[in-house]
Amino acid sequence: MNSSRAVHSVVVLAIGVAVGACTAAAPPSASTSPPSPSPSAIEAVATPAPTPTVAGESVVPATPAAVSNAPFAFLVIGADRHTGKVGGFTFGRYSESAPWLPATALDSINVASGAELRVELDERGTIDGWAARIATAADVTADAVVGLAEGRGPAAAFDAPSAGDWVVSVTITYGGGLGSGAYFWHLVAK
Amino acid sequence: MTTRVAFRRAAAAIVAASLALQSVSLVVAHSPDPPISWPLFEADDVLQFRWKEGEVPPLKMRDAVVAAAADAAASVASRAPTIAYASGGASTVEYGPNVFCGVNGLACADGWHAPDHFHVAFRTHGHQFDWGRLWWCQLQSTITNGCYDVENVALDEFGHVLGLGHHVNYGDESDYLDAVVQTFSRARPKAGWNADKYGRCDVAKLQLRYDMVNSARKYSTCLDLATALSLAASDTSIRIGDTVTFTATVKVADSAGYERLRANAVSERKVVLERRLPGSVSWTTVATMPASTLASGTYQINVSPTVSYEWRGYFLKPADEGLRASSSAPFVVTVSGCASQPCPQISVESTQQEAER
Repeated sequence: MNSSRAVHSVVVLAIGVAVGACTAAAPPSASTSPPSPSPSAIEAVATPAPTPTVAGESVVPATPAAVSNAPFAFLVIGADRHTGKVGGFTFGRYSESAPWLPATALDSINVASGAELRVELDERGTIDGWAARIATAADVTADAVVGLAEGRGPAAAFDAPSAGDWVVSVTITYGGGLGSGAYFWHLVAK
Repeated sequence: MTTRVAFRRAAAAIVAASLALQSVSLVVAHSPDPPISWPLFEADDVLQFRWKEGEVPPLKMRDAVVAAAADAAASVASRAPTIAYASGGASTVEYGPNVFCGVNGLACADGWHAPDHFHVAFRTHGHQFDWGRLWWCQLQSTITNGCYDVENVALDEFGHVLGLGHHVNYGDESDYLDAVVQTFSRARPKAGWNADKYGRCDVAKLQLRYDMVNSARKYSTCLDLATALSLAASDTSIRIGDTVTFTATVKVADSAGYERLRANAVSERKVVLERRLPGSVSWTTVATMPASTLASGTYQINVSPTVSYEWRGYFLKPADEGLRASSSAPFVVTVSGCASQPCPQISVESTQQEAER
C-alpha cells in the first residue's frame, strides 16, 4: 500500500465510524439535492423492505418483491444526498444485466474537485466492499474507464475527480453475501 | 493541422493525463467470480427450460438462447449442471415488454425457486431505456454497432443460474475477458460483446462450487491452489542391488476455502523424483515418475540406488492451470553392502519397464 492509499484508508476508516453512526440514525429517504430521485429511480425502488443482515451469513430477503430491486444508493456530498441509478446487479435471488449507464441517462451534479464523496445504501443493504470507477461523460460506453478508489465497508468514501464532466460508477458488494450492484452518478467537477 | 484539431488533441491529452493521475489499482479484483446468493443446483443435474407461454421469444432469439445453453455445457469445465431446452421444462425463458426485469435491465434472472427451477427474461427488441434503445443483434436485419448479443447475454444469465455473481474486475476493466458474468454488459463491437464460452474466472468458481469432472481435468488459471505431495518408499533400508519402489501422491491442499476441490487427487501431471547426498543443499532430478494405476493422483517408479541418498518428490507447477508446485518431505533410503558381487551401478526403471521384463 502506498502512502496516499494508506492515508486514504485512515480517512475512510474515520469517516466510516461517523457514517456508520449517521446511517443508523438518518432515514435514507432524506434527500436534499436533488429534491427527488428521477422517475426511473423511483420505479426501481417502489417498496423497499427492511431486511435483517447477519455478518458473514447469506440472508436472503423474505419475499420475491424484496429481491427484485437493489437497495437504493446515495452519493452524499456535504449535506446533500443524490440518488444513484442502478445498472447491473445481483441482490438476493435476483440478477439483472445492464450496460454502463451514460451521462445522458443521469442527472448532473455539480461538485468541487477534491470534495469528499460518500456512498450510503438504504436500510436493505450494507457495504462489504466497494470500487469507484470514472469515465468522461463523452465516453458513453466507458471505453477509457479507470479505477478511482476502492475499499472495504461499512463506509464508502473517496475524493471527487479533477475538473471535468464525468460519470462515476460505484460497484458495491453488499454485506451478508447478498450480491453486488453498480450505481451511477453524473458529476460536473469544478 | 487546424486550430480545431489541435484543440481536440490537446483536450484528449489532458483527459488522458487526468484519468491516469486518478487511476488506482483495485487490489480486491481478479479472483474467481463471487457466488450468487441463491441455493445451488445439484452437480451433474440437467436443468430443462421451456419458453414461457404468451412470452415466447422470436425464433432467432430462441436459437441463440439454445446455443447459449450449449455454450454453457461446453465451457463449464466442471460438474456444474447442464442447461437444455425441453418443451416440458420446469424452468422458463421469456421475452416481452412486461418481463420481470427492472428499469435498466436488458435481461434478468431469478432463482427464487432454486434449486428446483429458474426464470430468465429478455427485454423486447427496440425497448427504450433511459440509457438508450435496446437492439438485439440476432433480431436485426443488418447488424449494427451498439446491439447486444443474445447468446452472450443468455450465457451471462445462465451463469447466474449456475451460481455465479458478477466478476470483480480491475478498475480499468482490463480483465473483462476473464468472465462472461459481468456487472457491465457490453454491446457490439466492444471486446467481449459476443463471448460464447465462460471465462477462466467464471470457470474457476464453477469448479470450486461443483468440483472437477475427473482428476485429470485442468484447473482454471484464475485459481491459485496449493497442492500437497507425499512420497513413500517400499523400503528405506536396502542392500546394493535391491530395488525400491517410490510412490508419490498429489492432491489439492485440504483447505476449507477450496470448497469442493479440497483434497482432490491430481492425475496426469508431471512429478519428478529427486535425490541428494545427506547434508547437501541442492537436489538432482533422477527421473519423471510415470502415472500409476494404483489410484488417482499417484505416480510410481522403481529405483536401485547404490548410495544412501535423501529422496523427495517434486510436483511441477503446470503452465496452463491454477495449481502451485509442491514438494514432499525428504527422507533417507540407506544403502548398505552388495547383496551379490559385483555391485551393480545405479539404474532407474519404471514399474511398467519392470513389468515388461
